[in-house]
Amino acid sequence: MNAPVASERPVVEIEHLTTRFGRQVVHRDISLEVRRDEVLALVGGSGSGKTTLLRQMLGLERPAEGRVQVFGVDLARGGKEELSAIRSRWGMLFQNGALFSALSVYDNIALPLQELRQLEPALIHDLVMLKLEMVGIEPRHANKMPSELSGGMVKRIALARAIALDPELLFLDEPTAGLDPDRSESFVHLIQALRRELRMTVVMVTHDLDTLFALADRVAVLAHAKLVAVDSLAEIIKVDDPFVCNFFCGERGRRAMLERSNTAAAVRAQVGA
Amino acid sequence: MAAGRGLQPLQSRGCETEQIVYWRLLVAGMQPGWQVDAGSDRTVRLRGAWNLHALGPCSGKLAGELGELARDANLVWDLRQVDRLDDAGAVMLWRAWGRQAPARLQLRPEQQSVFGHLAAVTEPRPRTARLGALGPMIRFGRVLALSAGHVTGMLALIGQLALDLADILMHPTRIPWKEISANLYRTGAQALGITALVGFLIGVVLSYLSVKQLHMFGADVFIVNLLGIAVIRELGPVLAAILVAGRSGSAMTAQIGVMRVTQELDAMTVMGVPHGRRLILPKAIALAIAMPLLVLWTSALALVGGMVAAEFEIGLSHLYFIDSLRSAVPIANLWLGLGKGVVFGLLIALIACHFGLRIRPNTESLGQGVTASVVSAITIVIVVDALFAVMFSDVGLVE
Repeated sequence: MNAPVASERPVVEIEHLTTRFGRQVVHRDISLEVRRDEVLALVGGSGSGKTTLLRQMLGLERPAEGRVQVFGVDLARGGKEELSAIRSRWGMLFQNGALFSALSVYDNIALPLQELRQLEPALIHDLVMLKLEMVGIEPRHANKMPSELSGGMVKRIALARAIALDPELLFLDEPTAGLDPDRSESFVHLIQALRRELRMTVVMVTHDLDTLFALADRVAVLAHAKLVAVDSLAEIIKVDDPFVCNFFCGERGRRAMLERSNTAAAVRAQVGA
Repeated sequence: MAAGRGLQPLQSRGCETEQIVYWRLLVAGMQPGWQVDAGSDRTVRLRGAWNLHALGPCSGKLAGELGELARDANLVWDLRQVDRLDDAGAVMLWRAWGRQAPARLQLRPEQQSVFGHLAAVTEPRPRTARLGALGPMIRFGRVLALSAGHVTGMLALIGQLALDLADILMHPTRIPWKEISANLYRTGAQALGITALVGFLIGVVLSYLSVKQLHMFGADVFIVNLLGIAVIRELGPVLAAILVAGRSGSAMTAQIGVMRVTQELDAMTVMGVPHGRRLILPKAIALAIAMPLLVLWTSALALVGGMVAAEFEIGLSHLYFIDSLRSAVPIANLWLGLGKGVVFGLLIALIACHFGLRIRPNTESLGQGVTASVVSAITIVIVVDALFAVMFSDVGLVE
């Protein structure tokens, strides 16, 4: 019963995963591990099954073959208790927020806390207001409905909901898609700050190179239903694959890499320490 | 070091299975607790895991004890030995301190930011506005305004439909044939099964009950007159309308409502495709055509059901039934029934579209809109049927 045993094991283990929709094969024999406290980015072209892989890790899809384990529990075979325990240890930011449209901003964030049925309303209130402050939403927006909010606000509130339970594992699906560059950058800073404060493992799907360079420790590249490469950014760029080359070595890639600069490296060093 | 204290062991909390206790211990490492050093500076040293999963089961108890402790303003708080401090733990401490950092607080560098965030939360959640003493008046006014909105909305929809109809009659190339035929198939052809079943069974039940009563007066053969008039004039149209309102009306409202939620309606407006011509007109035309046909079908099946029941019950020959139907039921009744079908079809389509267009982009509104659409459609169909009964009281009935 010592903590190190739990921390040495990868947070997410995917073994020989095959996903099929009807006759279409989305993943063919994929194996991947997500280590504790790292940020793993999933990249790949449109339709390469990035989001589906994320959904597999969340137990929203069932593997046709192979298995997916999160915190050491097989998602397809785990018992009800085990799975509900896992679900209070992870958080997910959906691409379009997926805020409950019938609930106010406050109730959206309070919902996972209330569902624990252990906390008093006053404590929940303070926690919700703290999460709103952390994602930079003013208290006066707390009673608004999701349909009254701008896209950037929806995203930040969805992030506040995803981190409501202080998860150890955070999934981000296109965290910066649909945000303007300024908002996108502050969103990246927000996630960096949260990572420093909360010691989180992060799995994210992204197309945005700036986000990738700023946040990712390792990158997994998906193409043709296969995992082409999983490695640190520095190594990935050397991989000889048409998609990898297109993705990283184009004009945008070079620019983003230059901008990566010392700040990102410094942040990562700090996190590592 | 005096007054060392800890919490009760995790295992003794009754609400958890052993498995969950086990992983909680793995995650938490240690349970939350503290000890108080009684030196010249009284220092509270917090240790263990101060995170949501460790604190959750005992948050109420812990908050009370912390509050007691925090009354002494001269305490030194030392959080440096805390294993995991997350937001829930920080909020609990913050509340115990009276929403401010204590004068003497010792933190690790990475623990500082969360208290910074907490200090930045200045306002509570704003209260929702409550209606005052005038509450009932205001609510009544809202109901009136809502009703007025429904009436004007329906009038606008009918007017728009008339304009669109005139428009496509002048420019026949703009007639949306494909949408009309798709709607005809969905609302008409696919409704044949359910209307047949319901119509047939109602015919059987009605005939069975009536024949028993008529038999007492030796008036068995008048079952044809009774069933013929009741089914063709009233029951056929109303039954078909209720089924179609439940089946197709709800589908139309939900379809338009989801288009609002997914911004498809906005996309149509931007492209310059009018909702009236593309969405409402085809539905209204299709239902105005399909409904009289469904009325005919439902009435026919109800009569067949009545005929079968009469033959079983009193041995009334089906040949006699069919033969005497012609003389028992004046043909005006059939036209009246079909006419009602057209009106009911138009009403159901318009009401469905009206409620569909009023749906706001959220899930709750979608559910309410569909319910309101079906309930209103059925109510209005029955009200209009009563109007028909009054207006045409001297048509098609033999004195």
